[in-house]
Amino acid sequence: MSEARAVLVLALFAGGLAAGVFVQRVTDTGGRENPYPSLDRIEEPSQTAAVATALVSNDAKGLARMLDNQTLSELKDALTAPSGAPISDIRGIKFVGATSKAGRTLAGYIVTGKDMQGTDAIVGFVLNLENGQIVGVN
Amino acid sequence: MGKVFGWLPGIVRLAIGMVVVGAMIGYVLSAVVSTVINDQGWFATSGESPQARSYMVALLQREADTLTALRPQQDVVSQALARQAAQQSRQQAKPLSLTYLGGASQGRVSVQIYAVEVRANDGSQQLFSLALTLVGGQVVLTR
Repeated sequence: MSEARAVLVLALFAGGLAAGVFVQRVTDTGGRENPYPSLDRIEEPSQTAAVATALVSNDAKGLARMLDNQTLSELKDALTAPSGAPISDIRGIKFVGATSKAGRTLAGYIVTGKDMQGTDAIVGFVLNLENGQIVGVN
Repeated sequence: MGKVFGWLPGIVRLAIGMVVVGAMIGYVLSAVVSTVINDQGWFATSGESPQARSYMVALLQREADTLTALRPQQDVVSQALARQAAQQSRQQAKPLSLTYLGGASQGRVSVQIYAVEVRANDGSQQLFSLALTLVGGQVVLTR
């Protein structure tokens, strides 16, 4: 009888534990809701994809051909790790999403690599397109 | 408590107690584990960080207190400057949309990218981006 009682107590405790985890997962909204509407996402623009390819393949000549001096300077600033050191060794670049409104397109990328001090780094930047031309980097 | 539930048979009291205690422990454990996993960047995902979304909403709604809470501890002058910036931007633009473009994590560091559309006082609409860098769930860099 005492064994059956112990099993029952343990089973009830385990059931309660599972119910608690379930309730927490269901009621956890994952932070604040976005009260604003979202713009539609679009496919990766070919112009920005070409820049990403040039970056990951270390193609300085290609970048110089595709981007003007001002945009290249902005890209250099964008590829600076939070520590303040520029990312010198790009290991990977990932397109995360793009959106467009009234002729202006924003395409977001995440770069991983090592900064000048040899530390692992991750930074994000956004290429701005207007009428098919890359006009800026954030 | 014993007097309140004293009319229940002992076995029923025990059963209810076990379920309630188990549920409370399960709830707290789940909340703690999910917070730690999120802050430490374990099992890094490319999903939207709740802290980044809260930061963006607070930024667009000019909630200086929320922004301060989501940033690493700052000196009092930096906090005052942030409040002034929030008050000045209040009259400058009305947010129209907030779009999460994507993000990625590396260890405790996470980068989250958003597109923001605003209407300026002169009626013109502007679309710009913000890239947030978070470390341990706190926004350390906004670009």
